[in-house]
Amino acid sequence: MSTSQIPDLWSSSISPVVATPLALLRSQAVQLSNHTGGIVRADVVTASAKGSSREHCLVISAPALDFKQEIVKVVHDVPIVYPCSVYAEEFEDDSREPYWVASSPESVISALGQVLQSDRIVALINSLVAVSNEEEPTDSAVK
Amino acid sequence: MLRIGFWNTHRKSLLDPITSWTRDHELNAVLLAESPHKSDTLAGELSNRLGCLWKAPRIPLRRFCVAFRDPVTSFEPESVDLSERAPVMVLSTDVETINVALVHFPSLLHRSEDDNTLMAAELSKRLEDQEQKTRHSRTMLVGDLNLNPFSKAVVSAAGLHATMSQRLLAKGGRKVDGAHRKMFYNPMWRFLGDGGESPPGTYFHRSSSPSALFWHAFDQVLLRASLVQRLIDVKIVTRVAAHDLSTQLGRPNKAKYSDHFPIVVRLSRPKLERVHVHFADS
Repeated sequence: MSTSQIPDLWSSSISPVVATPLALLRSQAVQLSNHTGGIVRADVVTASAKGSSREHCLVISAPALDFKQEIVKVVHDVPIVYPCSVYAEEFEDDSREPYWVASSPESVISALGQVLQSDRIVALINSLVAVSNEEEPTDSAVK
Repeated sequence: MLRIGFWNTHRKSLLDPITSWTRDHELNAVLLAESPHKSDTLAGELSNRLGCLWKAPRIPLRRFCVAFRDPVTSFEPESVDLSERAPVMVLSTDVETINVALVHFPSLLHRSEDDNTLMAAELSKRLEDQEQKTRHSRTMLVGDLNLNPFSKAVVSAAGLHATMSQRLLAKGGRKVDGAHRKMFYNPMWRFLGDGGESPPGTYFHRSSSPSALFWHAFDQVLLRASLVQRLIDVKIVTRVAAHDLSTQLGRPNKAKYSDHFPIVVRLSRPKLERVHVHFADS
């Protein structure tokens, strides 16, 4: 076998540009304000978890209502960020742990899509927008 | 007076006994777990059946059904956890606001006590954040903890930090490893076992395991020091009007009603501080 005939055995999923779970969550956080005109926002709150792991929680808030809710959480080791675990109500079933294991950004995006487009989250955000609009306009909601 | 009732209704409608319970105890806030009803539905039913205006939170709660009436003017969630099992609400009356953690931790049939310990620690942190935000500690916790008052998650400073005696709350908390940790008073301790007019708990579970407790006080009310002085009483309710909620053996009648007894807590109105008016010299 000549050198040119040696196959590339590496996975096509490996690329020179890989987004971290934190970058994916931050991107979604920014997009929510675009959808709601800033009435409902999202932020990523990061905390250290057990051992060397990190937790990133996507928290939505409605400033006019003084309301906030955690909606999805991603947990990973440091510095190895994949695989990571995505926790949300949408993954809760009869199994003991309600999470989705993602080994790539595409898998995280798939999991986040299931959560962010779920009836639960759509209903919650629509309710927050509706109720916020009934409140007196505030500086934060006028932008 | 503020009268708050909590009941895990075991996925049953129970509108008739809920109405009787609300009427008998003159409740101002009805908090249900495992209810098939939405808060709007409950508020509408209570308004129709009791002839006064009941309201529901404007922000929907997925795991709880909540209705309230005068003197409660609003009762809205402000900080909701990932599982939606322990939203921190703010109850407002014409004279004050109270932080209320509404809790339904997972059953120990499906999770370990360690899992609930983690949830208790997370809730404790959120309550402290809420108290910092609202700048007061008029805070209470009510719900089905699926933990007993003596569970580590309820007692430990790393959890809810709830103690059995009001006197221990004289300073509002205590120092643990050099840091001040606020405490709760847990009046449910006195309901453990026989000896009073109440049943030996709020929930009964028969088990063949060697260390079976049988009776549990899973449904609890915890109060910070500033609310303890206003506590009139806590009751476990076993009968409302014509509805006997217990079996012949005195256990919750889960076939007809629920596997939990409801509880009711009564708080006196706050004493308004005397306002001293100083007139400037003219």
